[in-house]
Amino acid sequence: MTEPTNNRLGWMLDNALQMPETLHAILLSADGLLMAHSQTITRDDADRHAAAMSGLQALARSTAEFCGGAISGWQQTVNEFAGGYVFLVAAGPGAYLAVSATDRVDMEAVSFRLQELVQRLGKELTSPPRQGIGSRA
Amino acid sequence: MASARSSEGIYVRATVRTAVKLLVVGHFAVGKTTFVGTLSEIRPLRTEETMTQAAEHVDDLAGIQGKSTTTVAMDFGRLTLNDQLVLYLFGAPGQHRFKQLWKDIATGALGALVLADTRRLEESFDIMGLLEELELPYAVAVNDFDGAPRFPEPELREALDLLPETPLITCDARDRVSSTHALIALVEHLLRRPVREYA
Ligand SMILES: Nc1nc2c(ncn2[C@@H]2O[C@H](COP(=O)(O)OP(=O)(O)OP(=O)(O)O)[C@@H](O)[C@H]2O)c(=O)[nH]1
Ligand SMILES: [Mg+2]
Repeated sequence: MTEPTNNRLGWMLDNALQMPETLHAILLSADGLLMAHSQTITRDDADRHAAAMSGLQALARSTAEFCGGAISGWQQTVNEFAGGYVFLVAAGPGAYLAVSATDRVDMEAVSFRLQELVQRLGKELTSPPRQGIGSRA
Repeated sequence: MASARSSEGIYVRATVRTAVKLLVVGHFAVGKTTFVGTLSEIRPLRTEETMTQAAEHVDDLAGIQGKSTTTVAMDFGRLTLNDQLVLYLFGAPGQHRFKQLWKDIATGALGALVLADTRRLEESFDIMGLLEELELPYAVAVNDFDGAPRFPEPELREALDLLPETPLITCDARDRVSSTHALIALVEHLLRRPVREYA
């Protein structure tokens, strides 16, 4: 069960944002529900971005066959904009981490930092299976 | 039902414990994006694109005026029903070419609301079939389009080949109150079912 108000891992995302030129961070379940968000972003916006990231990941994954038969295992999606980036990476079983940054961010450093964060999140993420409707977390 | 939009997540109070993911599905142009937009208490997620001539022969616009865009990925909105229940509404595209994405979006959903149009009821079968394949419980809401024929409920049930327990409601996707009732009918249907574990 995804706990909508329990932002237990939010501090880990806040820590990661100490890196220069990063903006926001969210952690989401593969089915598009928010698991944690940085303090830089409201809950309402984070909910919407979580949903969008799950759709983005699903679409990105579906493009693997465009690479030919041998490719599998989506690892990350990077969106580049005039002025910024969005990084979406796998964060353990059934979870994704999304971080945004300005266009002045050090790409290599950010990649490294994200992997580091994913490792640490992985230790915290023992996500229990979701319960049916009406159950309490 | 509060209609103000929140910016600080005030509707998701600390006591809220249960997040329920629901699908809003239906064939092309049945009103899914309208429905999610009407109900969402936060700014909805939209992935609309202008329809091209390439799709003209594929996506049938007969009887739909003023529609120039179509959803290419998904819709999303959030509705806090009460202190215990927050509904996360995921709208999936209706056209067949998006079937894989549709299945991905369905992951983790507890149930679906199928929007239908009485002028093209037969186009709903595909979607109800997919839901049955995924073993997702659903309710059907007939979206009340201007000038669309109205049928008595037994006739509609027969035309849609619904099980006796499947809820059938009429709504106007542009209207908040009637759309909320459609969702509540789905939620009550889900609550009546035995609790199922979701992995
Ligand atoms: N009269 C009437 N019109 C509606 C209603 N719901 C939606 N519409 C109109 O029908 C058209 C199609 O609605 P959309 O919400 O775009 O439909 P959709 O199912 O999201 O369409 P796709 O994403 O392209 O499959 C729009 O022009 C709406 O304004 C309704 O309840 N009554
Ligand atoms: Mg739409």
